Amino acid sequence: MSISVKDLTYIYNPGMPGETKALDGVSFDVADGTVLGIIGHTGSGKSTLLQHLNGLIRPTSGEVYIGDVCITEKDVKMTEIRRRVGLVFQYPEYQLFEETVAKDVAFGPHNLGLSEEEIDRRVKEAIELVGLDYDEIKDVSPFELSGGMKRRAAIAGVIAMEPEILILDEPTAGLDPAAHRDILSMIRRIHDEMNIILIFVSHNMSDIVEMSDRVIVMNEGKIVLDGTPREVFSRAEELYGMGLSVPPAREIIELIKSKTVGFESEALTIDEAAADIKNHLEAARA
Amino acid sequence: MIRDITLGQYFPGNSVIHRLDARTKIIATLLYIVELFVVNNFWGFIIAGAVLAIIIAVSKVPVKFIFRGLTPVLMIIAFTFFLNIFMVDGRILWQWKFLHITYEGLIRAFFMAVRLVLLIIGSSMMTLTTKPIALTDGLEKLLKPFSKIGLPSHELALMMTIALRFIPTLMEETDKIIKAQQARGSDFESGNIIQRAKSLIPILIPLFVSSFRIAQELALAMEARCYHGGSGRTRMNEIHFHKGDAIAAVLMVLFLAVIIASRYIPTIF
Ligand SMILES: Nc1ncnc2c1ncn2[C@@H]1O[C@H](COP(=O)(O)OP(=O)(O)O)[C@@H](O)[C@H]1O
Ligand SMILES: [Mg+2]
Repeated sequence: MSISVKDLTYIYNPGMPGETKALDGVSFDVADGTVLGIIGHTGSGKSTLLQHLNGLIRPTSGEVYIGDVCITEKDVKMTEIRRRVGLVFQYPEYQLFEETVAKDVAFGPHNLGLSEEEIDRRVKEAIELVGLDYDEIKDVSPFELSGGMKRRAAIAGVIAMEPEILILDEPTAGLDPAAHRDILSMIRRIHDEMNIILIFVSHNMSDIVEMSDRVIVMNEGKIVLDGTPREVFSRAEELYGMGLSVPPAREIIELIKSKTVGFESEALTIDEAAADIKNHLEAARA
Repeated sequence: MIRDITLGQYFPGNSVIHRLDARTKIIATLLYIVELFVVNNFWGFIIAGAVLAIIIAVSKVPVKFIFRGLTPVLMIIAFTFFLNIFMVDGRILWQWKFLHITYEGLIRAFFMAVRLVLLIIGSSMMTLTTKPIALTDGLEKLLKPFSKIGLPSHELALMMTIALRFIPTLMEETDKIIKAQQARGSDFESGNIIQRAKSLIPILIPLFVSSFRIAQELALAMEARCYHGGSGRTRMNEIHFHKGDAIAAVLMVLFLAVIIASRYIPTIF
């Protein structure tokens, strides 16, 4: 599976008050198995872009290909696209509605018209995959769960559709640190086990570094930077100029670099930073 | 889709109409609605339509925007139209089994439809040209005299302010929930009427839950800022009548006279 986005432009409320050009000539390709992180300040068009990838929004102009299907054409079969591209919205727990967690997770598979056994299998697998105990939770009302668990249940509802591409819009927004870590490692596990394309939006630069093979930076509806985390975060000045930042470890490294002659480092994580500092100190002592 | 509903929305501007006192516009709108039911012939509707057209032109609100607000209620208008066509007795023009169309029915249906369209456009002109806050302030002032006989004018106005304030929020919320359920493969566009009604459940339940959450947060925020009802509250911006309002009042009386007179113009129908 691959994604190809060609010259995508989208305008909200054209010709009305509140007309907004949310996307402006966005193009990129994503290869199979990639973990793609998207960053950009609020209102830069990230959510709008994600909604184009499973046909929830039709572009003002431009094309989106999923595999070799052009999903922006008039008469594509939307259920098929929705099955292949799973989209988890921001705060997905607000979309829960069934009496029990199991029924809620089964909602997507039901809509796909699968057999009862197949639905049961998928529901069980999805609930386990997001790190919840199926037997314990299947008959519980989703409204009784804690915040982090609600979010996992909601994500399971999308996983159960067994998408070939999984997209998550700010999956860790508003969670406490423990739930944050859990969701992140869960996403990692889903990617590795299902072997899919994973696209996620985050404002946490450390998460972006930890998870992504590739990072896209959006600003005012355009892609302004696109590359590996190392490439993108070496452009600290530009990122700060757009109201973004670099991972905290890199911030410290930059500070040390500015005050220490002969210290070189491109570290992005705490481990890398520690190793580089140790090397430098040892070299200095020798 | 859901965002296309412009009923009750405000269209920012600085026209003469925008600058009128909210009270003037509320009274004018009520008067206009009453007048629409005073009208009983073709001429009256022409005059009422022309007056509305002038108001729209002066307000500089795009016509496209106004008509977009009409689309959600089109079904209701069509329904009353057909009900009137078939229900009124009189000179029969066409008949099939128990169904019949009469001359009187046709005229009545047509008048009713025009009346509804003018009524909706007329009242949306009020909301389109008045900030919700000004509207409820105006309403509160107009209702003030009735608080002597126990009408909770401040509470009513506050309820309206909150309702108006949260219409866009709830629409946004609805839009988000619809999209989230669509992403899970739910389909609102096909199937018979029962299937379609059923497909609303995944939208309505999250919407209710969200509404309660929003309401609770709002109540907390109001309490945190020591809100304790209307008695003794003063306003930051007092509203006043201006010269424009006086002119508007004169025009309103004139318009009323013309409308009443129009009843006596002989028509071809
Ligand atoms: N439903 C909508 N109607 C009108 N404008 C919108 C809507 N959703 C987003 N926008 C506008 O489009 C722009 C991009 O928004 P969005 O894609 O949500 O950005 P992000 O997810 O990066 O914060 C913003 O200016 C926002 O105000
Ligand atoms: Mg967003």
